[in-house]
Amino acid sequence: MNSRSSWRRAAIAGCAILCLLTVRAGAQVDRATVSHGAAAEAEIKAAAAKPTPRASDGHVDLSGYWDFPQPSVSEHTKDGVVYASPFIPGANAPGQMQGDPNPPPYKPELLAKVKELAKNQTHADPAFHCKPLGVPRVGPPRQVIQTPKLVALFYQVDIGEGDQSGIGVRLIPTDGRSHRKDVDPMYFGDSVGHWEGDTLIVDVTHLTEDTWLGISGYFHSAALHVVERYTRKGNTLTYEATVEDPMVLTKPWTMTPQTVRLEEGMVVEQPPCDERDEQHLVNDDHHTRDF
Amino acid sequence: MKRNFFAILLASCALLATLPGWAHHSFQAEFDASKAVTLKGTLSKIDWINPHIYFYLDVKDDSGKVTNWTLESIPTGFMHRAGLTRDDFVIGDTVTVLAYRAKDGTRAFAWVQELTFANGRKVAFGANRPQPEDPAPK
Repeated sequence: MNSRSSWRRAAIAGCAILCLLTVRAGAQVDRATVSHGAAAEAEIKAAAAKPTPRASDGHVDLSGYWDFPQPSVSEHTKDGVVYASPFIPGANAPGQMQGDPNPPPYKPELLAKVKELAKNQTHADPAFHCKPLGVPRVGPPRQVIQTPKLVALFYQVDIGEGDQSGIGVRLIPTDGRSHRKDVDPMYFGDSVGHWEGDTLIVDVTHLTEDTWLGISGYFHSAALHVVERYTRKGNTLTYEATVEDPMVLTKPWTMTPQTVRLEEGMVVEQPPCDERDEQHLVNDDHHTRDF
Repeated sequence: MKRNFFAILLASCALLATLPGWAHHSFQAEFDASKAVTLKGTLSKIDWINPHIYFYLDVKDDSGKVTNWTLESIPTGFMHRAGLTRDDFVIGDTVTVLAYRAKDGTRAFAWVQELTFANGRKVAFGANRPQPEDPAPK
């Protein structure tokens, strides 16, 4: 075994152990022999080492189709069985979405509400019921088309939470204009962008209260203001978002950054989202361990 | 080296914690892994929607009575990542499925765990069931 593979195996095993440590007391753990995360990390690192292209106006070019590293289509077939799941036996396994290391800093008097909402996620989370994830929970876009004065962000949410019918689109003017005043609070809100060096900064206002910041009961108020940072390095795009909501948070909160990788592809229209499960649920379990 | 090792561990776990939601709800909240059923029938209808695709299967019992089963499945994005589209499932096809019945007692409603086409091609939905603590399917 070469040093690179032993290092990778050690990281994978270690991650599995750490993930075991983060699960809630008493919960059984998935067959977590290999995590999805460790392999993804290595692929992101390799993509980041590639050259960073620039647009004709000199700005870094964010255009492209972006996605989290995933098993390839061929890797989904094993021993003659097509595994239509993000997790393939012997290749990877799901982690537990427990023990968030970076929760938003809620006011102490609101922590009980957050905990209660988290417990009731399958009933209370707007995204469970086909509402869009909204900014910033939607994370990085699946595709970007960048022009000198307008950046178009395209979203394809089709993973069983916050699934979005059709194609989600945000248009980000970068021509120096101010926020619109003639728009209603919405899931993507109103965005204006500008460049700071090689990073696109997007200021987002007019966000509806009908979204959460994350799956664990992270509600917010209508005072939500988000500043996003889109940074391309090589063939990776890192999404960062800082959330201000003085009505519910004690200070601004920066989400854990998410990095996606440039791939071949193009967003496709999604079918309607039609939630039919809630009537059949017999308990409040909701965190991933299934797929 | 050691420092990098722990940096990678933390980054990996952070990634797990932040990846977009993968599960609409817990399997255990709706279906019973101890109540497996094997069904052979013909696909009568497909609702290709999110957050779950639904297959409808006409299953004939020994007396000739036909029951239309509703079989819940995965989101469309999971199908596409595995290279499957709506066209892989044809109305009228004879298929065999391994499914787990709903816990709430809804008749002829189950989660489809495996689907095998007449030509032997098999698709598995959800690699992690039955869970280690669950009894083996009967």
